[in-house]
Amino acid sequence: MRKKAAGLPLYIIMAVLCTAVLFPVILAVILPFQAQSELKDTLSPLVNFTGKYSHIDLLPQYPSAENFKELLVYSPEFYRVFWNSLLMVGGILFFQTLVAVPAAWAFARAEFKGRRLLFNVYVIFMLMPFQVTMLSQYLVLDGMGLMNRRLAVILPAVFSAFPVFLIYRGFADIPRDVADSARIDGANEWQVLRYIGLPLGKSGILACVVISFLDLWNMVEQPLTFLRDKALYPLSLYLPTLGADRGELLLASAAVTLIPAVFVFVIGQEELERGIIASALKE
Amino acid sequence: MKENMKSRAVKLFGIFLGAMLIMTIVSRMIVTQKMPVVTTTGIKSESIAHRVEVGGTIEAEKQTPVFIAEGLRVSEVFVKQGSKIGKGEHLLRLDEEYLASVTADAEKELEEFMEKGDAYADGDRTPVFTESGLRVSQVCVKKGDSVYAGQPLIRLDTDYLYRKISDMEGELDSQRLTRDGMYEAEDSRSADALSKQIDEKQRELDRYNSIWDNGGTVYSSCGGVVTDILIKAGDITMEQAVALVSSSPELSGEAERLRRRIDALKKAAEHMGYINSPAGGIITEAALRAGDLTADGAAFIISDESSGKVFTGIVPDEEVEYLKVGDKVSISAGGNARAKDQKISLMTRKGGDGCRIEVPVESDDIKLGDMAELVTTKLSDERYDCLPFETVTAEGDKGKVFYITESEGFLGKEYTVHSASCRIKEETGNMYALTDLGLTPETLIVRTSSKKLAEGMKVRPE
Repeated sequence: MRKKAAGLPLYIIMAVLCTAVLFPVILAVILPFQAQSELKDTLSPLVNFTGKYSHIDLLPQYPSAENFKELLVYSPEFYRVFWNSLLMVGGILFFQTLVAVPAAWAFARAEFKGRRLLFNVYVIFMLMPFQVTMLSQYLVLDGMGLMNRRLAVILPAVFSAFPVFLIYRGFADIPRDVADSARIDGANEWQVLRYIGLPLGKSGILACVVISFLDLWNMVEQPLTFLRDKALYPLSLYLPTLGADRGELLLASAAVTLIPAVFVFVIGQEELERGIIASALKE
Repeated sequence: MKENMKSRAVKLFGIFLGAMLIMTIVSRMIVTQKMPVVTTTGIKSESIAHRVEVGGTIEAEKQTPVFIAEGLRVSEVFVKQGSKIGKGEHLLRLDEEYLASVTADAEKELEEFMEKGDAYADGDRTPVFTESGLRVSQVCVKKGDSVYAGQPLIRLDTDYLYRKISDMEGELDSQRLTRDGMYEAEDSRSADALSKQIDEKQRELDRYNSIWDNGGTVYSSCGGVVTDILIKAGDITMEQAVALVSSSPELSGEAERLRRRIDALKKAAEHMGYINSPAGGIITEAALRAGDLTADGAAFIISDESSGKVFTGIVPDEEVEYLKVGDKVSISAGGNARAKDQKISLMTRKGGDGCRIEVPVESDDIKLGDMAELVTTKLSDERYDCLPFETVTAEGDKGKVFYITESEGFLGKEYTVHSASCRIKEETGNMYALTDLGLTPETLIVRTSSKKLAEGMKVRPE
C-alpha cells in the first residue's frame, strides 16, 4: 500500500506529460468536427493575426461532418495525393526490403574482406541527413532523366542504409550453429536465408517495415526536391498547399492522413516491439 | 487476443483502402459532373470594317435660293416642289394691301429710329464749331439731311450778337484808357499785362464781328450727312461742336436692316406683289403656301439640273474620321436607284454639328430632290482584339469576358476561369472589336459554358 502511494506522484507527472504529448493529436481529431464557421473563428488568428490568440473549444459547439464530406466527396485531388503516397511508400518498402534483406544477411553471415569497413561506411551513410546528399542525388537523378517522376523519390530510398542496419541486427542475433546445421544438411545460401534467416529475423524485418512506413509516410524533403508536378505530390506535400485559409480541409485531410499510419502501427506493433527488444538485447 | 486485434486491423485497413478506392472514383465523378464544360475560342486581331451611313438629299450643283422679306402674307403660290420654272416666271403673289401696310410701318419705324439717334454707326465725323456765348435763333437742318460745304446749319440771334459786340467794344475802350493811365504813371509792367488782355479781347471781338458780317449764320465746313445736331433754338453756344457732319455715313445695324427691308418691300410692291424666279430650273424646295406669312429662310430653292447632281448630307462627328475627300462611296435613293464609286468632293465642318459632305452623283436613276443615303465601308488602320458576340457580356460600351488559364494541378492539367473587363469599340459582323482587354492572342476565351461562370471556378474544356 505504502509502495503504491509512493509511486503516485510519478503517475501524476507521467499523466501530465502524456496529456501534453497527446494534446496535438486530440486537437487533430476534434477540430475537423467543428462547423466551418466555428472553425473559421478558431483559425482566424492564424490567417490574420490581430493580437488575439485562437480560442479552442475542445467540444465543438455544432459538431459536423461537413469538413469530411467536403474532403472525401468534393476533393478528388486528395485521393490523387493519397494514392501517390501509398504508391511511393509501398514501392519503396517493397524494393527496400528486397535490397536490404540480402545485404543485411551478407553483413551478418558472410565472411569477406573489408566487411567491417563496408558496414561502417553504411552506418556513416545512415547517419548523414538528407540535406547533405540532396544535391548529389539531384544531379544523379537529373542525369538519369528521372526528375519529376515518382521513381526519383523511390529509387534513392530503396537503397537506404537504415533498413540494412536494422535488419542486420535481427540476423546477427540468429545463432551460427543453426545456419551451419542447415548447410550440413545440404542447404545452399539462398535456402539458409529463406528457411532459417527470414523466419528468425522476421521481427527485425517487420519492425524495419513499420518504422520505414511511418518515416516515409511523412517525408517532405525528397518529393519537394525531386517532384515539380502537383499531380505527383504525396499527402505530406498536399497538406501545406491548403494553408490556413482552407483550414477545414487541412484538418480533415490531416485526420484522414493519420489513419493508414495508425493501422500500420496497430498491425506491426508486436513485431516492432519484438524487433526493438531484440536489438536492445543484442546491444 | 493480440492476434485477433491484428487480424481485425488488417481487415479494417483493407476496407479503408477499398473505400478510398471507391471514393476516388465517386469523388472524381461528382466534381466532374459539377464542373462547367466550356468551349473556347482565341482572340483575333483584325481591322474593323466600319459601315458608314449618312442620310441626305440629292441637289443640283447650282442652286438659287429665293428669299422674300419676312412677315408678308402670301395670297397665291404658283409652283410646288418638283415644278419646272423659267427665269422671270411668277413664283408667288403677296397680299398687296398687307404689303403696303407693312411697308408703311417699316418706314415709320425707320423714321422714329433716325430721330431717336444712334442711327449712324460710329465712324469719320466732322464737328462744326461756332463762337461760344451766342444765342441760337434757328437750326436749319435735321439729322440725316444731306448738306454741302458752306450750307447754313444754324442762325444766331443777331440782336443778342449786336449787344454782345457793343458791350465788348465798351469794355475795350475802358481798358485802353486804364492802360494809358498806367503808362503815364510809369507802371509799365501792369500796363503790359493789361495790353495782353486787350489784344485777346480784340481778337474775340473780331470773330464776333466776322459772324455779324455773315448775318449770324454758321455754315457746314464740309459736304455729307448731318449725323448729329447738338444744339437747339434758344440755346447759348458753348465751346463744343454744334453739329456733326459725316462725309461717308453708314447706318447702324438695325437702321440698315430697316432700310433694306423697306427697299425689298418697295421692290415687291413695284411688281404688284408678284415674286418672280431669279433663275430657271426645278423647284427642289418650296416652303410657302397661300395664306402663310413669309419667314426668315429661303422660300424656294431653284435647282439648275443641267449643272449636275450632288448628294449633300451631314456626317455626324463620330463618323467624320472614317471619311475624307476623294473616297469612293455608294449613293442610293428611292427604290433600287444606286450609284456606286462616287467620289466625295467636299467636306466642311459645321460648327459642332458634324460635317457637311458633298458627293457629285452621276446616275440617271437618281433624281433631284430625292432623299438619298451615302453608304461606305471602311477598314480601320488600327487592329483590334475581336471576339464573337457570345463571348462578351456587354453593358453599354463596357464588356466582360471570361478566359481560362491552364495550370498543373493535383489532377493534372487544371483550367481556371478568370474574368477581364474591356471596352467595346465597335460591332463588326458577328464580332466585337475590343480595347483595353490586356490578354494575349493565345488566351483561351470562353465561348459557351454549361453553367454560370464565376472568377476562380474550375472548368473542363470540351
